[in-house]
Amino acid sequence: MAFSDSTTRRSVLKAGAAFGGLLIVSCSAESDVSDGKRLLSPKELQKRYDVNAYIRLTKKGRAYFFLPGTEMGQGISTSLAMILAEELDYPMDAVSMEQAPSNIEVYGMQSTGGSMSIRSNFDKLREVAAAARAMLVAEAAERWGDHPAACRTEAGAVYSADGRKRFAFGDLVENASGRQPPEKPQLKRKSDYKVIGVPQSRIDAKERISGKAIYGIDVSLPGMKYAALAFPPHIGGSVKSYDDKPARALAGVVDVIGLPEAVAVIADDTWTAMQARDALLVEWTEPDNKALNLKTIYDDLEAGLNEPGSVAVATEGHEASMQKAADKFAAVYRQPFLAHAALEPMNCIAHVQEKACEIWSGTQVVGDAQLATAEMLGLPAEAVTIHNYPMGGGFGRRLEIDGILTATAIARQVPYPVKMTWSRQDDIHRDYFRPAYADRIEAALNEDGRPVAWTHRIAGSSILARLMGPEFKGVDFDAVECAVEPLYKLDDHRVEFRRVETGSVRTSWWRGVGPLRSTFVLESFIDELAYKAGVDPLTYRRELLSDPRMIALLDRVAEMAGWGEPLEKGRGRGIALQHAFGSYGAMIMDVSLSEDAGLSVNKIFCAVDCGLIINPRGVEAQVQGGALFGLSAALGEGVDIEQAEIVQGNYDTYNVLRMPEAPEVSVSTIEGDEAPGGLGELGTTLSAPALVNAIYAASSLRLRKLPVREALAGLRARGE
Amino acid sequence: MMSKMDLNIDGETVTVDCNPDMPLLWVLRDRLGKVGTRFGCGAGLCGACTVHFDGQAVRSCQLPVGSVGDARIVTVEHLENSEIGRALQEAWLEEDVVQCGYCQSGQLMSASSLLASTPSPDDQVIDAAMAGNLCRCATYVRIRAAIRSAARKLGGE
Repeated sequence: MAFSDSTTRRSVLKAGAAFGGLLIVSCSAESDVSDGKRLLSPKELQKRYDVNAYIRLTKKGRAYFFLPGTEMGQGISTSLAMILAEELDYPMDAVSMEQAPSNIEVYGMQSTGGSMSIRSNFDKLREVAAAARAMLVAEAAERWGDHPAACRTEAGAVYSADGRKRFAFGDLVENASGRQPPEKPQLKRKSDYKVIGVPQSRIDAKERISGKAIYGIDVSLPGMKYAALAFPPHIGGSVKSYDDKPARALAGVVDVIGLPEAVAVIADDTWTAMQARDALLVEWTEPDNKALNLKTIYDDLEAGLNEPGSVAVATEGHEASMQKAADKFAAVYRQPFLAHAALEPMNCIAHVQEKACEIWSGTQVVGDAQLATAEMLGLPAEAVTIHNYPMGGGFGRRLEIDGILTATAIARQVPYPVKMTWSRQDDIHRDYFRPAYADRIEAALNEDGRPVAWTHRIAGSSILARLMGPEFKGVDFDAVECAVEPLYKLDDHRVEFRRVETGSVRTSWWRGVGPLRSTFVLESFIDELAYKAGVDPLTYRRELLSDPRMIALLDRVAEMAGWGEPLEKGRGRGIALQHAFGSYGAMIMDVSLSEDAGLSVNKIFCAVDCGLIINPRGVEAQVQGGALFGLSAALGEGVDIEQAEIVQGNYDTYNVLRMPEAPEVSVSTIEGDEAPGGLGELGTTLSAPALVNAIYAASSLRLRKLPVREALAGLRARGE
Repeated sequence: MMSKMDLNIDGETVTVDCNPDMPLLWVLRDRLGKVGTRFGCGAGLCGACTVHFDGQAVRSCQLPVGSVGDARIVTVEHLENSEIGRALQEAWLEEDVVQCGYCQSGQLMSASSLLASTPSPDDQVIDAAMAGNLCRCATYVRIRAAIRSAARKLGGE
């Protein structure tokens, strides 16, 4: 894949099929991306990647795996280490993960997103590990005069055919590494797995409970200075002029650097830089549209629903099916802008020298960051080194590289390394939000109140349009994901995407992306249809499902929750189902709603089928956390815009879930033989629809707008 | 503006020369290299910067270093030196609490202050004591379980 400009070089999430294979894959080099899904042979692997770039086996008997992507809490370092330990036959405690250096030629774009880490690495890592094991066995067999197939491996050692002789891997490494890798290494059978599928605790937890973990924001370099930034108060604003005298007057201030969209103050420490930032006198340009506010944005989105969109899918008989309906039902749903609000605010250290640049930061897109930084500085890519660090949460925010480029723009003007740290307010105000959306679905129903067809129009900002530029053809394939393939049997359906950009509000990926958007709408709507037909929402769904994996999960979650048990007044349960990221999920949420006590979520039940399970503990953790992350957004998150300003600036106004609101989350898995599916986003996508459906069950209030607390307050204010 | 101060941090006396208005958080992080105490919000809203001030959990981003005086400051980096701290860290590992881990320094400091004053907290007490500590990965279910488990092991029943 040749990269010609900054738009097409962006790694576009999960849009591979649409763009001829521009996939996010952590272990990929461009050469194999263009081959589509075909795996490289070990020989090719060695030629193009250098097997040693992924795995290092030491003479002391340790195995290191170099993680090309990023650990941001999703547990991939543990799961990938398990895959390595399994296929190499190493004990888990002999396997370590190291962050791979930035190197596009060796590791590809090194991107992490779209719940792809396991999916894109599973086969490749196993092949590399199996090749390494075969080389170790071949070396031992030759020394013994045995046939390699007669030898076996266990816990970091090779045993001879008669079982009497043994070489630890460490003793073989040096000679084995010079051997020819096998053309087709033998992968283990699932029935022989000893590590995969066995619950494993996080291998990187210890340093995270003792304060020893170093995130990007914690890095310190000799001679480093600290920068804070004054950003424009308005969306889309820029610097007109500034007076830095009051800032420079503060002790410890080193430099003031003007950028087009910000003014940076550099000082001896972060706090002094922030104090001096507040002392700057900056005149900002007037915003393009000073009247920009959330209400008019919502009006624009809903108006977009009345305009034809680009057709994502339309079955042939759709129009006829809609026309001959016995009955019709339509509903409009609305979802707000969401901030990532990761706890580690945006930060980056940059050191720009004449012919080189070094970056220390946590990023989900190492390759993008390297190329864009090089382009900005007019340097070749190999002159830029990205030192990638674990992130204090990513959730999609660090798929954008604006933080790294801003730090580089500052650092290129000074000789020393600069650590740029954003305040929490900067982090929220300068976020790329999950787009706000409006959806309208109209269903054609038969005499029994079952849908035979529907028309679904989606209006919202298109992230892909921004990233693809002129290649964008009207349908945002991410936004319409799940909507184009409803879980339920329909004779016909039509899905349209209407792009409605919302002023200069920046939008981007947010945990759950398109499936998050679609699942809220689809699962709310099917629930509405069930109640309208007077049928139990579980029974109604089950009748309309066709995928046996989905049906099995629905049955499982119903059993977990005791669906159908009588509940006291004011209590209700709601269902949500989903198939995305290569996995299936089913959730039942149990809520209570009363005038005195308000809304409380009592319990969440979640059943998942992600095919082959690598780490059951990791699966449970991701689904629990993901479900509560989704609940957080559904209950209280939303970004307001008034007079072209972002209203929220910190956690007092941007309502992230806290412990007293967090219910227990019970997780059950159905394991299959299918390739492992993604899990980082699955739970997140189910919570909003399960919540509004539960609220309806408890109260007969149908909430079609998120967040729920705001919607409930709106109903109360109107006396409903 | 600048002033020399002797501070008692993690069992050692350290001298810093800085503006007494500087919050303890930034003294720890930028002056003393004790970066285990995290910056999250700068407004006492997220709890990532929680340290112990004579045993009390406080938000170090809200505590001017000039007001610390001779109080004993303990950060997460010293937590393993107390029985409660060790029990909590073990429970954190057993329950596999950590996801991104960024907030966990503050979570552990709040939890250890809680168990020091309330050896056997029920879930409501735990929730109330931990309400000021945000976890964006939402590991709350496991944090709660780990606190319960550590309390049991410490014999607080």
